[in-house]
Amino acid sequence: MKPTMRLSLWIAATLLAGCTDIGTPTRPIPYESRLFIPFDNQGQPAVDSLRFHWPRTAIPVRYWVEDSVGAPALVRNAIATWKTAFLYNEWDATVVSDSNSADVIVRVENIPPKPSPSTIRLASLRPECEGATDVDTVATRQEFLVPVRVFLNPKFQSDSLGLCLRITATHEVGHTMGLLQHSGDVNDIMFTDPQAIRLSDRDIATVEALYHREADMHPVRP
Amino acid sequence: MRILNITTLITIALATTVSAQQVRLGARLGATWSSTLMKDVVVSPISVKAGIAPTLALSASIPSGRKYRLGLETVFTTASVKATENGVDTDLGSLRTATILLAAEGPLMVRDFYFRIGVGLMKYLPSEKTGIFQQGGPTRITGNFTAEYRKDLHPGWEWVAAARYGLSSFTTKELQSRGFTRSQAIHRVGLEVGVVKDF
Repeated sequence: MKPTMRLSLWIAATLLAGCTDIGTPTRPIPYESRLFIPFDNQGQPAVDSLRFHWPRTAIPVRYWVEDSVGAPALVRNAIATWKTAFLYNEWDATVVSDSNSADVIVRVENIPPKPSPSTIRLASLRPECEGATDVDTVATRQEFLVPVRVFLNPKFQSDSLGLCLRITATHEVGHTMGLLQHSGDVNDIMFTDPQAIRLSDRDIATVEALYHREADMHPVRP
Repeated sequence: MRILNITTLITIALATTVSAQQVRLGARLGATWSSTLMKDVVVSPISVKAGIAPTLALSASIPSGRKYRLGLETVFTTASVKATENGVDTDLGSLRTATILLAAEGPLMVRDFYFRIGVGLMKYLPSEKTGIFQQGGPTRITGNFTAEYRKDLHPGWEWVAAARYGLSSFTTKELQSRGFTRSQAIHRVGLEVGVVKDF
């Protein structure tokens, strides 16, 4: 076969191989991430489900983190971990030094009582440390009060405290992104008693789906 | 920029192994349009596309036979990339490409018109390692066809207007690790003007 013919065939084969569309994957079924409120505006029993994610105008979300037990590094690591879940820059966050401008405030302390009856607390429990995220939808149900309050509490010193805080910080940052439920699967970082050291495919699918749906609540600052 | 270094080395090697009288160098500036880089459906369809890309093309060739020449061509582009979902655009940063082609060129049947056909590699260089590029930009095989119109400018110099068509495919390691299959065919059309100099 002549070299020119061989080259032509190779080019034709390259062109033919290139005439395809990319195949989209089948993603895992997301777990529930909406906030369920068991009473209506008048306080009567009635279940309401509310979806929240940060709007594009609020990105990057600003986290203020108390400088104790390496919490700023833990939150930065959590932000970097969650950022890998996104393919299209749907969410981003940064740690800021001014708590006044923060969308999320992370404190390292014993978890205090809920500040108001309308606050919904999402807590995670592990032996060595605990975490909590307080969410307040205010009265109208369309409003998501910022700054969101997050608490990290190292309960006692142990070899696995660092790992516990890392997992808990990632879990709580997940709540602040809008994952307002716990998963029922121990392999998910959003499991009530988080064990997973990385995001599961379901964590990724859930947060991806969340940021591609319409939110019911928008952030408001009092 | 390993591809750029390789290109430079090959160009120097080419230039030093042939008689200086035989070498033809060219440089062109222009713009390149690209088709959709990828499509996805999370909830609604999403498409990712690069904008019109400013383009620099450099070429070096030596005679091969009476009418034809063989050489190398490098093409550099830079463009913004955006994802579109339900008519809303999200900026995904910028994307550079560096292409190196082994090219053959010769006259077309119409006077002052020439062709260049080349095959080679295209490296995608994203500005940020995030999103679809969080495991880096891919290197893909590409084929290019260019039609050129040349006119004398000065003795030994010609100006050139070129129309380029390129075909390559696109996927990334991140997309493959997420379960995306096959790759997306990318069509690229460029218009360029520049000069050619025979040495």
